[in-house]
Amino acid sequence: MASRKNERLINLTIALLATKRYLTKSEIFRTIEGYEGSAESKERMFERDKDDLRRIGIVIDVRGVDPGFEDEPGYRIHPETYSLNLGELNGVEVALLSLAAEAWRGAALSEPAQSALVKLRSLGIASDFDALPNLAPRLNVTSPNFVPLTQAIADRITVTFGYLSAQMQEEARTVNPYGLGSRQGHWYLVAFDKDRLDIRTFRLDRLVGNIALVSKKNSFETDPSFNVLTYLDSTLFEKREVAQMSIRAGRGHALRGDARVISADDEFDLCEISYSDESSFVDTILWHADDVIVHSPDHLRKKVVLHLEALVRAHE
Amino acid sequence: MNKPLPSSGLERTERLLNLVPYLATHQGIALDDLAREFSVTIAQLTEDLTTLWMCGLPGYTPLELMDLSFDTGVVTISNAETLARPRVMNRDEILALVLGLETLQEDTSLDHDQLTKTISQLVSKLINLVDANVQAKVQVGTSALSAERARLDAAIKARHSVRITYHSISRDEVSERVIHPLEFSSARGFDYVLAYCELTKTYRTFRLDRIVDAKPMVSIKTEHHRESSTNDEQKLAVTLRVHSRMRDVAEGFNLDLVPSQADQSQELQVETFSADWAVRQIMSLGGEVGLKAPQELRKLLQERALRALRAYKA
Repeated sequence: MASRKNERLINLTIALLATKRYLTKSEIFRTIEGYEGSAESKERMFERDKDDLRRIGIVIDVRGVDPGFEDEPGYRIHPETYSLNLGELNGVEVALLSLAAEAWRGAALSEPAQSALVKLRSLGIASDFDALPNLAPRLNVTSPNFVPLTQAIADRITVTFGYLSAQMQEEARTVNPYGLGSRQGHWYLVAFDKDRLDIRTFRLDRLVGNIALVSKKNSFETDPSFNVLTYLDSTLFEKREVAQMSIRAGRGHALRGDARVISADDEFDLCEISYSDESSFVDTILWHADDVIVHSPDHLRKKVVLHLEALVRAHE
Repeated sequence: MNKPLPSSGLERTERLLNLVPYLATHQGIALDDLAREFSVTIAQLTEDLTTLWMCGLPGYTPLELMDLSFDTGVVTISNAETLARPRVMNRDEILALVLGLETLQEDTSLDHDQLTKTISQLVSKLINLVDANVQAKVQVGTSALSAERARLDAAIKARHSVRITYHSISRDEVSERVIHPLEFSSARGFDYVLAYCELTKTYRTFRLDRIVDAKPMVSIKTEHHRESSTNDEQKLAVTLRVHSRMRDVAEGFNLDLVPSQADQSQELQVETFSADWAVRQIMSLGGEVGLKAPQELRKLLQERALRALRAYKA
């Protein structure tokens, strides 16, 4: 964009912010630099400028100047809607916010995080990192679909995308997105699948290519009390059953984190572990071969045995 | 990163507006520091400052115009009170901060009631600034690696060695070793640190979530450099017959996640650094995937499955 246009936008912002009363269009054209040409072209310029400023989040208030006399509208920008107001912030709070922004380095929201950081630093409050323990949080979601999905969720826009099935086929999905949440290192999209007429959960890294926004804003209703992590926990990660198994001493570290040791001898530790998804739990048990032997529940034990038999057959 | 909105030229307008409050609180900042902060070239920044220098209150005499000076390599601003407060944050900026704060909140190393409370208060302040539509709909769960990451980060900067307790997944063993950490990287949602490992005398990467404990060793300075990094480990090719669960194979063996055309079972070759790990990985797929070659691995897999079966039959 040409510098002249930018100059005019900045001058318009300054004038509308500085004024204590509403400015009429004729006052704007007369006093603000850059409005030139015929009445019609000034008018067009001003309409575009207003749209542009609104597009970057500036709220321009419009009001009839003197309704009894003349209804030429007046314009101004209220300083309280223009500037950042986080109340009083101390150095510790600024340090925490800076760490929060730094966590996005190289990830999906790194650009907005950086511009948020610039705004925070512009407050001129020295951050007090010494008051914090040594922390380096990190958000490692890099999916190009992250930002568009947050937009679709906030604005309730239907989206379409290709999704990798368990057989690696690309399936076309049309969904109303409800939420995005991360658990155990993965990001999940929870959405209403419009073809399957049910809520489904999608792993973000299994989306193929870029999503498309395919509806107008507010095209579906959502439950205001919907909480994505609560939903994920109650569907994917709720531990419903408890298994008893022997884990070889010094082995099975992936399982030991959640295990309660009941008894131990020289060779094996008898452990109790609660689990959520049975099929992925079976995978983990099989991974450990004869280092992990399941005792109960019986259906879990039977499944593991069936798979071991299949493995033997497949490798004869 | 792809941008959700087409570039409208308005990002320059936004930058101009954001420059003023930043300069007002950073009087005398060096031109190149300022350029870095706003991720622009010095030429672009100079153009921005020149534009700002033409702006001000109606009247536009030196009394009304903002006064900028930057020809000495340092930047100062005055007469800019109207724009001197930083602008409100947009939705993405607030989302970035809220999710970042939630990550901090979830951090197990943040065992500190007062800070946890402060973070919650900040989150509610931020959420109040935006239409609360995204709240509770985009959330971060626990991934708490921050303490180890911070210690390794400090060690990289100070060039110190670190004694780590590491869970080696390929051998299913937990062992202690001294490493000289060099840099962080990430792939497929996991974070890694590249380091010289004293135990194996090689450069290798360690997955951060498998580092059980990290203790900096202040006395030992590391002499290793990133440039000398080599990978001595030999890759082993393994042939698979995939009947089903192709996606699990691709994710497990770090193949590209691209849709496959094959409907039926398919044969494919994968590479691995550890034969033992590859065998276990295929076992976890429960017979839907067969290991075709090399023959010794195929035998090893069958023996393991038989041994486990015998334990069940016993």
